[in-house]
Amino acid sequence: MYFETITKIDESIILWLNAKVGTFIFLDNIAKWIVSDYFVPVCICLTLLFLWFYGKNTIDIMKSQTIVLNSLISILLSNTIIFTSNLLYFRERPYESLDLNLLFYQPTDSSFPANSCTVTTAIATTILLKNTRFGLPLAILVLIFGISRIYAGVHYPSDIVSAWILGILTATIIYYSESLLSRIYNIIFKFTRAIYLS
Amino acid sequence: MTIPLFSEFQNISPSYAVDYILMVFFSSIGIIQLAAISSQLTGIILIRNLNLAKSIAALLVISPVLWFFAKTNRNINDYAGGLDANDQAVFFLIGAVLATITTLSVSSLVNKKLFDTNHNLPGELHSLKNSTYYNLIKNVLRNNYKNR
Repeated sequence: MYFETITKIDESIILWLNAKVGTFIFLDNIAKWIVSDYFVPVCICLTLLFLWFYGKNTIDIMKSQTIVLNSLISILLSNTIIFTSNLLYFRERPYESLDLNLLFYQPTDSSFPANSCTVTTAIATTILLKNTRFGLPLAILVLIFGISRIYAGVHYPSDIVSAWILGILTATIIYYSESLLSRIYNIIFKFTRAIYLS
Repeated sequence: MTIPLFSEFQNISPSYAVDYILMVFFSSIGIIQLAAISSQLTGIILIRNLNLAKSIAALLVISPVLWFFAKTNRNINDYAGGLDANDQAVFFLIGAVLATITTLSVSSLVNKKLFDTNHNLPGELHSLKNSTYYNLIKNVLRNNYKNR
């Protein structure tokens, strides 16, 4: 009963949003870029590279580099969660049961949770929890990324919402585990400092 | 045609992978320059006029991304020649590492006359504020040799 209600809401939202495809060609072209497998992940990775070299002094640089390491751990953790979830539950893609205008290729993996959205949300939140200046634009980008994926007909809204929740949860776990991870980080910093890169 | 290096990369079109690495490489050079300008890491800034350096760095970040997407349709499944998440991670790493090496090498040459060799700089990234990367490495090697 509960599941059926969610599915009905999901279907009505995706049908309403996807019906707008073709109305504004310019918007569709932008959506094609944003939903692609490359644009948002590359933007996020470039931000991480920026953070590695960013800081007015040694303490600032170490703080920025800790964010980068936290983000890498959040990628690992979120991928583990996705992998486990995909083993337990498979959900068909919306274009398989609904008549949609696809702006993307036809993926064959599980629709739930939205994989790329989970990972990008986890990284954006990890950055946001430590640095609002860089985290906020990324969080907005991830928000647009999620909505674009529904608009493009690749995911149901509940796939995206669950991805956002999982991503935020992952980042929060990493945030509160930082003291435990600091031992590993110190080893990494010892190595990178030896080659003047931290 | 496939890249014969690893079986995992069998479905990737070589030109697709090269395009991706080129985009990451040039954008990474731009992003490192922007970070170096913000952090005043003078030793790795490639252009001395900071306003010009900022503009060129921003252009270097944006234009490769625009080129990558404008060149051809990038919404391709990984089994049809696109890159999956693992491929992307590997190729991003290659592009970013190459960009870092290029930046550190070229900036050491460009800023060669800007800094005298300082023997007492601490072993940290922030030392690039007062030295080139080549000078820092040279000092480390010299000190290690003396301490033997």
